[in-house]
Amino acid sequence: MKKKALIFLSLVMFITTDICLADDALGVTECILKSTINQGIDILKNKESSDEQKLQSFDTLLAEKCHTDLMSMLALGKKGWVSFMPDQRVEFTKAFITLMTRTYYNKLSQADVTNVKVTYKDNIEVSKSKRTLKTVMSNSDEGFDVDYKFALRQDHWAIYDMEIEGISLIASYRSQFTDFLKTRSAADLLTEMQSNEQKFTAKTVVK
Amino acid sequence: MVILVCGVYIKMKKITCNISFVLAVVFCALITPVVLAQDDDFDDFAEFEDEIQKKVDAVNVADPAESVNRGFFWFNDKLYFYALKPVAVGYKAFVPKPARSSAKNFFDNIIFPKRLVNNLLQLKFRGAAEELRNFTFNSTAGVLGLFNVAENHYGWEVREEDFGQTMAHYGAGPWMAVHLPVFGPSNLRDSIGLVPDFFLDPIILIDSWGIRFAIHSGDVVNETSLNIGFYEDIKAESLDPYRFVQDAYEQNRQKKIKE
Repeated sequence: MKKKALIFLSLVMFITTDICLADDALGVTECILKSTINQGIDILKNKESSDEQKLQSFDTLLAEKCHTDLMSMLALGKKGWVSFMPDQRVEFTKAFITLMTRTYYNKLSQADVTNVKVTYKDNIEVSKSKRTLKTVMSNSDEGFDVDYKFALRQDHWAIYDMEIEGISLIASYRSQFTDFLKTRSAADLLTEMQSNEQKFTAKTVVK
Repeated sequence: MVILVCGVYIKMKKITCNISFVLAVVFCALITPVVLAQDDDFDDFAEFEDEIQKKVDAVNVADPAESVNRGFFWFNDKLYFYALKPVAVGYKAFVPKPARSSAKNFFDNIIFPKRLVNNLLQLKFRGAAEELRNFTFNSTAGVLGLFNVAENHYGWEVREEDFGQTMAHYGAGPWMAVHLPVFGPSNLRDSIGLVPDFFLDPIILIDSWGIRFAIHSGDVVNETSLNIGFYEDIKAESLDPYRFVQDAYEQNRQKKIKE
């Protein structure tokens, strides 16, 4: 039965990397992750695209595969989020997602992604609207435990956090943003994030 | 709430004109979903908010010596950029990656007594047996540990344990954040744990402290050469690199302690 399911999943993956069936939550999260990784690798390997075009493709991919609104709110935390004006929240979400895209694009563009192997260890049903997909990402030298956290919102499974060797992306940003906002304002945080974004853009262009 | 306010507003005006009543109703209908959406933003995300906050709280270690720690962080930052990185970059240019990977495997293999003893101290007999098996395979088939055949060919993972984890296993908390010169992020428990671990390092059997220092320095330079750019990325993408490094250290330690 498992073998049949695997063959079916492989066929789905082969026909289209975008469509994942929504009635099997455990399978769908694996499918989403596989298609995200495949599409990410395709973007990086495309020699005809410029860095700026690749970044735009990454933005689109992230918006499609991640709950970017939820990630932004969680990164800021309830206390931080309510202290922001509505227009600042919109600006923050944009800046946070851009920061993440730039960060991971820079890292991935320097790595040999073609040799990366993803091993799926476990798929845990945390609740009806939460799944954790446990994987090991490895290359020829070493492997890292990477857990992807999926949320079901508006009938759409997407990633809202990832933990690399136990280090949560969202919790790490939350600590930094909370500390920052203890002494400085929301406007200062947005300025700081935009400054970081410019540094990354410059780094990408220089590279 | 908004409906109530609108209701009061309508009552106060003592509607005499149907048009103004209709307009007021339309206005209330229009603004209600918008305002409610903002108020409810986090109610909808409560289970996610709780999950992240618990994670943040769990690694929120007291940092009473923050100014001293930040001083050591600054020192380590300069040490990295002005000494360690230039040496590692030069070393990387001359030593091919397979040789550097083998050197890493060798250093990882000889530190096996630390892992074995700490597995035993935590009564993790299976982990201890696996460590013993991996060491035997890597030291023989892996040519004195130069090749990690246990992991690469058989998928047998290292059972990483140290004395800090052993103390945590018996209930010790991190107590307070510590940033050590040269060693980097830590906490008081793990810093104390370095002492017994030091005596489980086979390199202390070498009489000459100069040779011991050279071997340890070689290990650090080799490891750095395999991770150039990693620290730079952390620095660039963090609002507060010190906070990020300490926080990431605690999160990673919690995962290792649970394993």
